[in-house]
Amino acid sequence: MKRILATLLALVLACALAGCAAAPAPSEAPATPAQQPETEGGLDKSSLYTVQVFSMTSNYAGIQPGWFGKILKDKFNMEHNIIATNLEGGDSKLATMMASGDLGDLVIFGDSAVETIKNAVDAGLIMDWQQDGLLEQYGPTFLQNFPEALEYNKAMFGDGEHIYGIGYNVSYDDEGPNEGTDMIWGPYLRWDLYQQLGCPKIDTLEDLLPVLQQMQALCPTSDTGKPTYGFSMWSDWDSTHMMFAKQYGAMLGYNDGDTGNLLFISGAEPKYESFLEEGGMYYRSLKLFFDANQMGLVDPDSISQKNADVTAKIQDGQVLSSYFSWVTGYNTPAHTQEGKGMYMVPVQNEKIYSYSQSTYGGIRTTCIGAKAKDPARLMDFLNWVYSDEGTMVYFNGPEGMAWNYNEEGKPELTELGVEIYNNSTTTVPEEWGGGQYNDGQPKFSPGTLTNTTVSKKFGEPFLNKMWTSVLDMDTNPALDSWRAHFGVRTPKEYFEKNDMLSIYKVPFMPDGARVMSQDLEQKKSTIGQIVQEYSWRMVFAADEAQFNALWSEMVDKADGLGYPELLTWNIEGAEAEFAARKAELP
Amino acid sequence: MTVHAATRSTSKRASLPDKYKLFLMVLPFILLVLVFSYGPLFGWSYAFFDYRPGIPLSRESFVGLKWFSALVSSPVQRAEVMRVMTNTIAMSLLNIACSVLPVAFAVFLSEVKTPWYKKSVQILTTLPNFISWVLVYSFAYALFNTNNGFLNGLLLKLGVLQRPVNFLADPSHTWLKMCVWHIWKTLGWSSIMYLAAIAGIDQELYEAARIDGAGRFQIMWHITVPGIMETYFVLLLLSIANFISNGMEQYFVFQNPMNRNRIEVLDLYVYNIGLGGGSFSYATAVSILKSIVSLTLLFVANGLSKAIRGNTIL
Repeated sequence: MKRILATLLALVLACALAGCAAAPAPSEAPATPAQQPETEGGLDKSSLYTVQVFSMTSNYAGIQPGWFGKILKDKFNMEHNIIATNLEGGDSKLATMMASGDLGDLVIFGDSAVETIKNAVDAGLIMDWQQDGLLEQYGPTFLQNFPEALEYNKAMFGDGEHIYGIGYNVSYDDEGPNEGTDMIWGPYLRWDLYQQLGCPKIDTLEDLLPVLQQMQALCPTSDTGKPTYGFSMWSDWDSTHMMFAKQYGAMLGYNDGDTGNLLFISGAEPKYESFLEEGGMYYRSLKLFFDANQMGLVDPDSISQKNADVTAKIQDGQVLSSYFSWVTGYNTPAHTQEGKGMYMVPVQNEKIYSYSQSTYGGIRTTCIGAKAKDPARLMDFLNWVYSDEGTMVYFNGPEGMAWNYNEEGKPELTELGVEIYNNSTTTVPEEWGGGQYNDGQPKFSPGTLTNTTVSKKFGEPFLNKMWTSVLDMDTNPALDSWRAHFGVRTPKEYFEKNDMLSIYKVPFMPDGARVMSQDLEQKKSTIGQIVQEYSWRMVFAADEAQFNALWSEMVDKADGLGYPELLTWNIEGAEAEFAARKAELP
Repeated sequence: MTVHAATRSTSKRASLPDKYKLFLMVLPFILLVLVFSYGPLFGWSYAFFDYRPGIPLSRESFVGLKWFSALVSSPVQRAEVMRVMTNTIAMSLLNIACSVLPVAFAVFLSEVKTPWYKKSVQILTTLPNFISWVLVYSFAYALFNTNNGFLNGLLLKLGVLQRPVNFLADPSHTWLKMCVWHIWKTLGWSSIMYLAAIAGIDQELYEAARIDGAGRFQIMWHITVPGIMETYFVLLLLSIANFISNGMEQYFVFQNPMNRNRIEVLDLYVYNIGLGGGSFSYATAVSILKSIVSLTLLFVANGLSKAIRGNTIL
């Protein structure tokens, strides 16, 4: 009896499992023949291609969901399985992937990846786009529109012969800053509180502190009753230094190109400054945070929390300022309708670091893995991503759903598009893929065209925030009062008008990318650990004496570990870059 | 008779001499040791090259002892190595010093006469052993974080604190705190062995002591404790052999820039430098150093054993 029961149970289970496996098939079936040309441009797309995307820029792991997932399926019969180093141990994940000898189908390198790309190319893990006529046959967009970006890649990574990929933020021309309505940096303050204080003038970044203190006094608790802070930071994006402390330099026109090399290089002028210079920008930045902490303005959780925690705190109104323009989740319609929001408040001595439009593109590079299953289909896909049509979809969602062309051929948001514009968690109709809009956005985070470059097709930038129709539509009490106060429509306009930009233009480096020796690399990483660790300890130092003691201890240690050698190497690089910049001047 | 002799002779010819049989029996274990203990030693070769992941060693440049000399290249570098060694040794010593706690715990627990109470204490103290350090950390975070941590909330409500304190980023007493976490996690588990040893003590000894009028504490001290001392010393020796490898998971999850100075033990340092910083060759050189220290410790222990007990382990 027992045995019969067991057999029956097993049978039932087997049927159930089979049912599970078969169930989704009918819903998928109709889409395939109707919308999919099985062969298009000589490409056989009849089988589903699961693309292993190894992305060093993505913050999502797994299969691409939602509306973009549907486009991949319908247009390319593809799905993206994303492996994101950011979520899986960062550099250690990269090292294990490199050692395994297979980087997947699509490989997307991060901003500071010069050496990584060089190594990957050297190890034979990246495919030459010229191989088997890939580029000629399936990548006409690249050849027609971005020959300079290809040349740049050739010079940087391919010994002047091979093309291993294409950079990100490629533009049709190289005039002006490539930022959209906002620059990357601010600072951004709680505009409503700043107004209540009578909009005091802020001459230097240090002057932010008394203002923030008064703002904290005005608004001691957040929406949910938690204590507010002037600064809330996170440490898991740190590399060889405290990431937040570096941003002070960026607001004065200096950056380290995200190399972690501990040298500030000016965007526009041939100037540089060491991170470890006493009284220099990095020092002053740490001092600022130290003072802020003494005043009770620094979130004590800064050292143990992650980016996502801060995002949540900002939405809750627990954080009163942000150096970055992209940490303004507080500006929800509910807040802005009450006149509340985080908006840019300029500091008088600011010169914001800005990236120029560039026909070369940046270092963040999209490549095809040497062991890719079907390079032709990948090239065909990338060709679309870099086209005007693809770029529009990448940034603004599917045509017809979120936006449409009007009679003049200009893009306009649809009703749903407006809803999405105001709230990215808006639900997408089932026919477009379903789910929340932001969940369905492209997650593989590749290079693309700069979204601020003017489209050849409709004569406006791809970024919907910059469309005339959207600028006209985009009003709320908070933003309106901000616009009235500064007499401009966007922060970018303000900085341009007042000549407060330090624009960095990628120069063409004919000798290719410079790569550090292994010795120096090792020194850099040990020095980096010291600098990062001491920076945080300085911010949370008990008093000024301890702050100073920690600073000199840090500098001594760094010097002892070979910092002078690293500095010399970096200065050589900076000089070479200055020379290249000069050579490009007309 | 003849038949008998014939079978015996064939069986003798077919069977292997005992020494081969024994060798075959032990062979799987020798293979295991080769594969898991000697095989990985091949990885040491990375310390002699400029290794970059993805590129085979045959194409890398041989650099001899460069990475070893880099270890001691400057006073600061030497100080760094010393700092890491100090952390390692200090926390190992603390853990060894605390290894009497499970003994005491076991002795007292065995004195508890209420079965349900004894069982539940034992279960509650053993459970943490099965929780991974990552989860232990999230538990610690839930208790001690500043935003909605239990402790901060309590102290703020009681008015003890004016503003929240980030306990996890407090750099003071790091060694001690790590030791306390370690005890919390391992106390119940480590005492199991002693409880078993206590169960094995002859009950007649207890009865005799009771008849002689020994009190409860006297019985514990004169019968239970000597009864498990042997077990204790065996485990102590084992933990001394593992002195230098005090693991890294615990320190890895608890590390942050504020406490890294004191928490970075050798294994964590190797991880931070190698996988975090990408200097594989250098990290390999450091971990070879670890093996050398372990070997030295082993010989020291062996020498001590010879001097004190008159016989050697090796």
